[in-house]
Amino acid sequence: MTSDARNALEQELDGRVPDGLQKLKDGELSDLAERLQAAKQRQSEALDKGIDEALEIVPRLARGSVRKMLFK
Amino acid sequence: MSLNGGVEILKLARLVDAEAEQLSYLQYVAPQDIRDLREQVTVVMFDADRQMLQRVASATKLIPGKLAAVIGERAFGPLLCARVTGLLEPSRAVEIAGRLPTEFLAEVAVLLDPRRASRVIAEIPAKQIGEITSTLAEREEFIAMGGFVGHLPEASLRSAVDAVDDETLLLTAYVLETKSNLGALLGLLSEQRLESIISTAHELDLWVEALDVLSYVSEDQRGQLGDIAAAAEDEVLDGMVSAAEREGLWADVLPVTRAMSPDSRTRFAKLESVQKRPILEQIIGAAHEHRLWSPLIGFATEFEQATQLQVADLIAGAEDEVLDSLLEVMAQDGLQAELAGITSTLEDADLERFSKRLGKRENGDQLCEALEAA
Repeated sequence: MTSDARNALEQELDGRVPDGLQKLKDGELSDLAERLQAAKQRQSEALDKGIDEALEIVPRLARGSVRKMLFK
Repeated sequence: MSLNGGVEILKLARLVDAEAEQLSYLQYVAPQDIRDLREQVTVVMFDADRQMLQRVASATKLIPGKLAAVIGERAFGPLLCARVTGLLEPSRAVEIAGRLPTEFLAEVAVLLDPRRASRVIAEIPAKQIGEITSTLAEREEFIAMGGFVGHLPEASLRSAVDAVDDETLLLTAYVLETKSNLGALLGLLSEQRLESIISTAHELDLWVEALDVLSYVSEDQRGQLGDIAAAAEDEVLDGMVSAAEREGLWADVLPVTRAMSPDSRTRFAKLESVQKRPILEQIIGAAHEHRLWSPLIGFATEFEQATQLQVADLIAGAEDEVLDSLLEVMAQDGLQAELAGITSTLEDADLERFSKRLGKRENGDQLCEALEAA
């Protein structure tokens, strides 16, 4: 495990990699980091999409105040 | 009695939306380290977008519960609902959940971190918990169900337990997030249900799961279940012996023999399948490896004399390290008389050789004295 691969995962985890993962190869640590990054990305995109769709469902009368609370 | 690496990989895979096979390289990492990693990933995933999710939770207050439920189901979907749930006022979350279909709530439950929504889970009506559990059981979501156990009040837990069959209950108990909750879960089950679970463990060969559960419960509960198993037909106990032999589970079985009643222990010890030499070798190996000499001696005192002779023969021929470990526990727990009772079955010449060997080992003189007294 090189420090580059570990650093990339630690950046995604926002913390230290558990000691037991030191036996993983660089490619495996990178795979974990990429999967975590992709999962965060998917979640953010789903949130953006969900909010857009929600605003369409909210009745016009309430839409302004809901939008204001979401995007203040 | 340890975390299961495969289960931990499965739980982590679910968090990052992967298949367990895609993370198979983690199989050589200690389960506790995978669990620690999962904890970190959980925090990261639930904290990502937290500000916006918090605003969504606040905005929910501006609209009626019925509309919030529609938005949750149609616009947000189960993942975002799972992320927002813990940020809502529990009473508001329960109100919204009451308007959502069970199928959708089951999907949310799979993606929820129960620790972050504990207050909400505790306030969901027991009947609804039973319905959600039933759907989760149909989908074989054992891990998700196992995560909720410590967060459900008794009425809800009863409702959940009543909603699933024995197989589901055993498989869920096996992957429970916090195994210390197993005692409370088992405490809710009637004697009849426990009998049925033991019978299911036998019929479906789920002894690995059943014995794992037994290793986490209280000594009284372990004894109660051991007594139920011992009261069953020979073939049920034979099934357990066979599973213990195949999977190396004697470290789980020995504490059960210690906890069961004397009558049950005698009945189990008389079982033909347990008295075979290869099995006895395995049991002694487990007793050494896991320092379970005390339950082994208690169990072996119930063996017939011919079987005790085999045990004595294995002990007399054991390596120094094994014998020393046994003698140390004997001295510590005051088991000199019991061990002498077993080893005195050796033929005269073997007993003489064994006694000479004991003379050179630490604590060996105590067993020699007990053998003379015997």
